[in-house]
Amino acid sequence: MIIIKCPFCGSRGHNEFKYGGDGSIKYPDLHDPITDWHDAVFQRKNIAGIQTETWQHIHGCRMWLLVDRDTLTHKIISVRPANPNIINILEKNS
Amino acid sequence: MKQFSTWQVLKNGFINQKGWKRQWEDAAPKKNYDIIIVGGGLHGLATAYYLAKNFKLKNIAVLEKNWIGGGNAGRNTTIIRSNYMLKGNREFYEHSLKLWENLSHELNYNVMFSQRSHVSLYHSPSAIDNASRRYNIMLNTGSDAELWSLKTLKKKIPHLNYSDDSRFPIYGALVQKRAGTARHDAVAWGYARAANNLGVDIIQNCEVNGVITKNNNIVSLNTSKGNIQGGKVGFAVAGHSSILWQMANLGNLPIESHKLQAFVTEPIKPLLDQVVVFSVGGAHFYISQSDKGGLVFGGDIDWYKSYAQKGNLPIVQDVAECAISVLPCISRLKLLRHWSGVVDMSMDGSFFICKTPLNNLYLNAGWNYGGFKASPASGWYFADLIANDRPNRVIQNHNLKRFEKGYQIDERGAGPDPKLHG
Amino acid sequence: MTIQRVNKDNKNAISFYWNGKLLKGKKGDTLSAALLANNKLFIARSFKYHRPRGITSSGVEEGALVTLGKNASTEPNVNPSTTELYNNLEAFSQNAWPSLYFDFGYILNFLSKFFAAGFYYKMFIGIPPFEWGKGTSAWMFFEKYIRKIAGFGKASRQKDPSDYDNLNSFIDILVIGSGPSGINAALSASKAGFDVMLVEQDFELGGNYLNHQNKHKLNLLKEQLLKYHVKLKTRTTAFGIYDDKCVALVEKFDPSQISKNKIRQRLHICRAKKIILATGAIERTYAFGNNDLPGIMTVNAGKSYLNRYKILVGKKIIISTNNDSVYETALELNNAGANVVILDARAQLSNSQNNLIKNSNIRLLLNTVVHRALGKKCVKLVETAKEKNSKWQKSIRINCDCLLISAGWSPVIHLAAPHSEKPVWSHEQACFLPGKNNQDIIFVGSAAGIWNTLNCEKSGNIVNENKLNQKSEKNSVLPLFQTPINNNKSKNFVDFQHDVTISDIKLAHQEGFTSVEHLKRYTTLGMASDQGKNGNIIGLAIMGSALNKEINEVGTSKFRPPYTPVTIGALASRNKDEGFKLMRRTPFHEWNKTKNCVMIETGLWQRPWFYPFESQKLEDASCNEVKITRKNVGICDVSTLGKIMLQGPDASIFLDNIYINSFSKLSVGKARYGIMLRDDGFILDDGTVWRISEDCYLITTTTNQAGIVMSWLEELSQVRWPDLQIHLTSVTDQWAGCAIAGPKSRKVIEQLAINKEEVSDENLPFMGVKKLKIETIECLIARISFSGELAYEVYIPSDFANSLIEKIWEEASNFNGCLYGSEALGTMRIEKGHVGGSELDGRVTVDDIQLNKMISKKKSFIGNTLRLREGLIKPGRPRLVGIFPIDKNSKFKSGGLLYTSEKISGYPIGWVTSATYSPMMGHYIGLGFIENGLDRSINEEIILIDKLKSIKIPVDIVSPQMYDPEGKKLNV
Repeated sequence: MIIIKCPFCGSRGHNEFKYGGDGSIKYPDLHDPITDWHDAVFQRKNIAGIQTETWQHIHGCRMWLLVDRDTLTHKIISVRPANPNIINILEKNS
Repeated sequence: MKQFSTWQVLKNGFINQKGWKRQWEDAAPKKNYDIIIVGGGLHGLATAYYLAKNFKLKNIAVLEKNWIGGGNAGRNTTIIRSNYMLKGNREFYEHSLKLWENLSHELNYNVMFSQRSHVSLYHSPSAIDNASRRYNIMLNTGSDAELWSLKTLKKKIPHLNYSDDSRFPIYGALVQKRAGTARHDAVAWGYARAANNLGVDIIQNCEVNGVITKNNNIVSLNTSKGNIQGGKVGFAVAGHSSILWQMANLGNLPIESHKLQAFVTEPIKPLLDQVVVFSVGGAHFYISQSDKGGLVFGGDIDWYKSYAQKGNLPIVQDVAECAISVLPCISRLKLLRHWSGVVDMSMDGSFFICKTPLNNLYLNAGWNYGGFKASPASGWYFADLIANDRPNRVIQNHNLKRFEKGYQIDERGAGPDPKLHG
Repeated sequence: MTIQRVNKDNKNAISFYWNGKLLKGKKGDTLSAALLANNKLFIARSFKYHRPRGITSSGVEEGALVTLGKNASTEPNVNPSTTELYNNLEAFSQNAWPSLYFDFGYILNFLSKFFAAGFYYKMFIGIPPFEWGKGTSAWMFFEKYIRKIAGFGKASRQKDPSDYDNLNSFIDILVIGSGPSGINAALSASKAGFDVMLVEQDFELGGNYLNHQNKHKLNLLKEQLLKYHVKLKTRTTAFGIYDDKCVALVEKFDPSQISKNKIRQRLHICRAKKIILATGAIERTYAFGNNDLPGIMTVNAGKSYLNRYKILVGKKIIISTNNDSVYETALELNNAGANVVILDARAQLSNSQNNLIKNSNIRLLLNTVVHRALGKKCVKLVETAKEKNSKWQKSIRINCDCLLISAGWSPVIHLAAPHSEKPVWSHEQACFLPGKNNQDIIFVGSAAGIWNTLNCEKSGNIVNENKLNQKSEKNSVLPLFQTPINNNKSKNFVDFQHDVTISDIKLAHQEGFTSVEHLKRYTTLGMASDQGKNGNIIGLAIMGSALNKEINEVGTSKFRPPYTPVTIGALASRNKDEGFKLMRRTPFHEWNKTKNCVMIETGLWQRPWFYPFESQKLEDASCNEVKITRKNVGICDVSTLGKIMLQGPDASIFLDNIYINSFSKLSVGKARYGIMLRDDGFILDDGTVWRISEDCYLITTTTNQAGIVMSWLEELSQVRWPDLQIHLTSVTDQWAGCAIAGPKSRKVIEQLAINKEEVSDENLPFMGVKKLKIETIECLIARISFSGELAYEVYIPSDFANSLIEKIWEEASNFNGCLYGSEALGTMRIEKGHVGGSELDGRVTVDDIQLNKMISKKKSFIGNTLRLREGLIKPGRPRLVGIFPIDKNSKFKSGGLLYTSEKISGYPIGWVTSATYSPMMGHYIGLGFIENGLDRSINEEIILIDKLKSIKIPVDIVSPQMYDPEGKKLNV
């Protein structure tokens, strides 16, 4: 079990979460051309090592998170909310 | 090559097995090869074999970073089937099945292909009807398929879970009788032996750690056994395709590496004579019995991207739950071992055998979790591509451009999320 | 062999059955101990050659397996040396026919010269002797017989009557193993204030203490464990350590209690902050001639049977060793009355060992090993080999009735393997020591290569001395893996359970299978039930000597979980039968059942399928439902549809971004049908969106996609568009939904509404939405139609679902209405050409279903770019059509394929996605896709072929809107 420390709920097993995918992808604007969308939707860095990825605490607070995790060992380096506005709120409150 | 036969086995029984030779030689790399295949798994070895056999090519090397057949070749659940329906996939997997049917003779190596039927269970009348499209296409394109009613199914496999308290009652099954299982290790060794016999150099413990390019061509590969030049280079390293690709400075691939677990019980006397597939309510499970007697089974990928060959517990539990939901009698049997392999999950669940941005580099990748059954055809078409420098009609859409052009080959309709194609 | 209990009292006697015969054992025995006490030494037949096999150990490394129980309770391949004896236990020998003593399969032993490693790969390809023929038929012929010979025990074909439990726990420190180092580790941590759990696979605490003659120390420590509140779990095996120190344990319940308690085992998942592996070490044997004869065991087994179970395993015992660990045991056996001879492979002994046996009549032969054992069903005679001037020669023969072996010890390092660097080979200690790990897994005691009891106890002091990684110590051991004299006359076993011999390993070497992975797979070394606990290192060593390499250069085979085999039932625990997957029931579920409803599985939902009158069949019932609905009124439970509340100032922008059509102009109190695409331009889902107020919308999704859509919208709002001010809430379970459809539906609703005028055509027009009080309960009502009739969807707060549906049904009954299920719903939507899940299979575009007119040109949306890729807009793509049979009596189903009459094989030009008997048309109709859709030439003859169901009929391609194409009935 990988333990993910949800910023809202605390440490939980990864089976409470849904794996999203590569969190480093910047999705183009809705009007942007096919090549931009193609690269974002279909191409992957597929990093062997530490990558940023998205997970959703689907059986918990349902928040989407950005997780830095080593794909060679499964070790998690950091977890933060995917929504940067929420990060700001969390920081203000702490 | 020492021919394998009953006669030889008997003869060697009397001479203390002294007549057997090395099945393939452990070659040291030469400076230069006409064709280098990177990856000594089933696909790489098969490719080398068909290059030598079908195109009479010499001076071929297979480079393997560990020991041949040590990656996914030895980590799968050995299921062979051709129940694909989309153009390209259909012909490809059917061709593969046909190659399988004669593979033991072709390689003079018993790969133990047992055509014991692949039985997919369905849990509502409409689920059977919807899946019928696939099986009807198989029937109309030269393959075999059958619909088993509940009555037939009960006769053929009496100990499946037909009870009233089953969560998802079984309504019937769609069956491919020519499908079955094989001995995975034997396939790797058989191809290696046959390829080596045709002059292919099999170089083990030779890891590629650099790709030298010039003017859109690969000049040579830096390996743990020195620099090796190649006229043409083929990558067949599913699970780690992106790593080599990036070593050649080619950017990103439409692939993510995920891990898939497999499971085996202790050996028992014959209990299950078919491959049974169970897929309902978000669960996915397949099981068969090896000739040695262990029940071999598996389920979904572990959902999150991984290059680590270690499985995690939630899938172990999921798979065990499926196991006793399908076969309640195996609840007292014991799990002996579980392991996992790293697989290339592609964006549409289909593979790549194609040319690349480099003129003399060819790619064989993206096998998702169905690479084992594909091995013979994968080798056959990849050899065909490398030798002729053009894709065969059958695999013309299995290239890297298909997403940009909108020609994805998505058997599940799951869309561009690699983890959903398991 | 003459085995006997040292104390012959009758205290705590237990009856059990061995191969049907009643025997007596004692409480506290293992099955092996009880069998030995009854002089049953030969208990099994081997896997491949069916050779007689006896008990070889007193622990997990046991080579002989048995079957427990009968019929549905059969458990094959059980290790008798770890099985706790209980009253009326039934055990059987396995892999022998007709009986253990006269086993027909033993003939294979005499043919064994033909069955060397890998022989299956070399024959059975075709017709013998030269493998003529093609295809797989020859192999499949032989395979039938081979499968019967292979396998070990027989499994039951009946359902396991037992239940299994599961448990999750959290702990500071988990100590695995309760021997000298484990108990002390648990105590030291507990005294320091940590929350500690100590688990032991045996049914008694103590580990190696149990094998000591004096139990005083153990008893004191046990008292302390209680005093310091260490949580104790016996019969509990840690079988795997997974990521982030999540330890999987399986706990067996006391078998003597199982008849009272249906629960047999419990899967226990423990998340520990620190894991202490005090897992001990396993004594190795070595390969020599006939080393599998019954009567040959490890020295530790001899010690354990004597001191723990009070059983003396022989009268004339030979001990063969290469290390110091056996001398104390030799003396104990000697003192218990056995005549003991020690063969030590080493040239000299330390003083301490010499002193130990000095005053006894133990005979010691140095420089000596066993070369071959002889005997039929039990060892009788040992041929030795002696080293003289660095050359090994055959030496004297010694009579015996028991041969105990100790060829060194292998630390049990399996559990940490997935999280550690490769194990390190210690030449000095002749064993693999644990590799480094990054997971706070600490080895203590002999698992860390610490050998004597005192040092092990010390190593357990993990807190005070802060010994994170124990240094292993020197051990006087001479590497010994096989008899030094070549010997082809008898079999020298490396792996007992899989019958792998030295010659198999040598053949693997000869044929080039020299790496450990190849060796293992070619010979099946270490692949049996014990997973190589006995044989792997011996096999590696023999390969090493053939290659002239050290063991570590040959490699180490990866240890994989589980450590010992785990019952599949325990892994599944409570998630079986109806509890296999959660079951979702609608708020109307119980009410539906009172109306004779037949349910169908839809994903995880139980959904009303049809409501038969008496014994009516599906098609009759659903046709009736359609007819009544289309004539009068019908009520359908649609609670399974996904419902998402979208709120916030940017809600309209959000909707415009996710749907192909525009929502910002939708007025409050109105609903609109919408389609959303995936990023790649294919259809994700469809449904209606109701504008409840300026900033509040209710989104409905299909049943199947509800969860996926919710998560997707949350991803979009949090990850991609974090600046949009919106909030999403799943309200699927808050609202029970029912459709009221049919020409008389308004009349029904008028009766329900407090004021009839509220629902008049004017006040609630087509696609109108409003709040409506039924009785005193505020509901939501929308005039939308999936059936094509004048229809409403009423959403009732779930808590009031059952009371209000009764009221609605009462009114509907007054208008001769009916209840209809998913089958009738399906029929009506097919008649209308509305797409459902079988059409929207993830490969379909908006153009394919001919709804491209809906696409807004004034804005962009998810999927808008990639939907315009070449392959998705190229002419000729299959498009949605309706299908009529030309012969109106013919039947067809979905899954059939469409061909032109010119070419009726190969790839089809289309296929049927939905089909039904249409009571309105009076014949079967279908929806499907065909190349070019309705633009095909009408002169073509189209054939529908469904070979699976033996259907081949000519069909007409028609517009998908088959019933009431003008939509008149929406406004009756």
